[in-house]
Amino acid sequence: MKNLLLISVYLLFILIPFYPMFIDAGPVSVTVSATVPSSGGGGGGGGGGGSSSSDVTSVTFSGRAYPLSKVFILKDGQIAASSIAGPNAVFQISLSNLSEGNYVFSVYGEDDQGRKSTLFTFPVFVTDGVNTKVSDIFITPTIDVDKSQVKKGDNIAIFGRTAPNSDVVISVNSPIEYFRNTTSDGSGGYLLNFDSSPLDMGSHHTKSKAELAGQISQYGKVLGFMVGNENILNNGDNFLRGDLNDDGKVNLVDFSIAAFWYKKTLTGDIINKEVERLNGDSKIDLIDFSIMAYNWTG
Amino acid sequence: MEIQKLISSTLVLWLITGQVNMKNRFFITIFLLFFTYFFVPNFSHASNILIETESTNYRIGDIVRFDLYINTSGSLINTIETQVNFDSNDLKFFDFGDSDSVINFWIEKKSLPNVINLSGIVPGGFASEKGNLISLYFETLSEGKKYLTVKDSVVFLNDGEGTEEKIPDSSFTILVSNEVNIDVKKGKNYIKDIYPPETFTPEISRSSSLFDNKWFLVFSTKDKDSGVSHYLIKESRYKPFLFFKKWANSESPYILKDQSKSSFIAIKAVDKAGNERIEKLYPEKSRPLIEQISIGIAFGLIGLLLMFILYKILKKISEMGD
Repeated sequence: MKNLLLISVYLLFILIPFYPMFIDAGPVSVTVSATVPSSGGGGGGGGGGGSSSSDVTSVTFSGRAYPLSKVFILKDGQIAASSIAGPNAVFQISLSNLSEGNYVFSVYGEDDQGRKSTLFTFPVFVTDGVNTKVSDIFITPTIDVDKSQVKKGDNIAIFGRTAPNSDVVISVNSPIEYFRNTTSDGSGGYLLNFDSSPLDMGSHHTKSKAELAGQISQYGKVLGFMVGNENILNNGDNFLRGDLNDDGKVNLVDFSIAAFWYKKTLTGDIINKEVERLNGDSKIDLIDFSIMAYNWTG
Repeated sequence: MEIQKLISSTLVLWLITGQVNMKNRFFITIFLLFFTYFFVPNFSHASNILIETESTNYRIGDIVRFDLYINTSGSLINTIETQVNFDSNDLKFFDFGDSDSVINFWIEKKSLPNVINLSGIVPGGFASEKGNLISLYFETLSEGKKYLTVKDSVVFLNDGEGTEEKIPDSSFTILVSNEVNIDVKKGKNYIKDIYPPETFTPEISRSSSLFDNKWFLVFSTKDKDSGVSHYLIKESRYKPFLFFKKWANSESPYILKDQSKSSFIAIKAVDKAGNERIEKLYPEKSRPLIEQISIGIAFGLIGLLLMFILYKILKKISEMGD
């Protein structure tokens, strides 16, 4: 008996230092269950809601993104869950282990080319013991162009991803706003060859929104291009605005960097970063934070 | 705004349909131009900040909670800045309450004598008729009319360009007397909080734009009842030692003491009622095998020593029993 006790004490002391070798790396995060439903959801407006009594305080998000795209849920500005949409672009994600109170949730999608939608943000009051449902979310289409500058009179291809077989409205903004319609294919891809003839020389913007089964998304990201004397291809290495630490995300890290330089004279690398990824006025002010908040990925 | 639209559209309709003569058309056109130029900008989509309190009558020494809300008037905004002015001789500021705020990240939340500066962002933007910005807790110091004024406020639209919109100034008056007001609940309202702050995910990063490219840690969470009071951090290269390390007060961003990222890190968020939430980060890099073996041998030797001492003690006890 005595020997057993001694061996136990000895083993305990021997094994303690090796304990860290056997544990997995990685921080703890919110308990999340995410499922991909097999059938599509119903139509509706720009996001609905509902609730039911439950033992667990939770919120369930559902709606449309792009086929097999990543969908991210942000809770108060930080990623709380992610999932993959089904082949029909429908997604459903649940967040549990929440306290009662007001939350600001955001949803966004990322297509197979890494293009991100705008955030769809909504405040929700979560009640203790109730499963709150946020349904009919229609994530905005992604958008891209084939040229950063188009020769006046040539076509510029405007394309992206949305839900399959959606009607897509593309706006090209200049002194006069031009609207063109197209339809997404079975995989959610859409393409419009826009004739630049009516556009003035200089800078222009384009954006798109989608409509499916009576549901209409908001306009997605605004993308700029130039009309000039020659074509310049879009090489796709545009910086993500607001990404100050080059990690392809705009989140609390970038916010912290910007907050450090807020109202201070910029020195060192931040000078170039401000020009490349913020509004380029050589200072960090609230306009830069607004740009960051618009491009937020969590 | 709706009345303006009605008047304008009716007049335009008269002009188009020719139901007014040429002379009147001229005057109506001038009126429309004047009306649009001078009045429409003043009323167009202006956000405004509302201030509310539980009561308007207080006693000296009472705690007053001013709740600030924003009405975005339909605009989708993502950044806000405002300045709250008060007289320090009348009101003594002592706390913020942002547990229910729509603001996710504060850029500035600072109290100075006679003024509180606030600015923050809502990623993705929000539109609300009454979005909770923040609650400000004051203690009344003297009797009479006391004013809280919100000025120099701006919001920025969630349009990717940071378009600025000014917010009109607003103020709120309370009356402080020596009379007892039984409607006022004295004391802070967060004493009943029994829940810890929300779970959160700290992140390690570095940037050539900050701290000379040193690794730093960022973290942020919310407490839905009383609000987060402060954060504490401890680092240790060995997990068993983490337990014995002392917590140190800290804030985000935090420069890692161990720049090799080989340490275990614990971050504790404490709410104003003292409830705690601890999140842990594990080393991204495992320690060199030789280091782990060395430490293991050292612990083993200590174990052997303790075992020997224990053995001697037990043996002595056993002999005494015999």
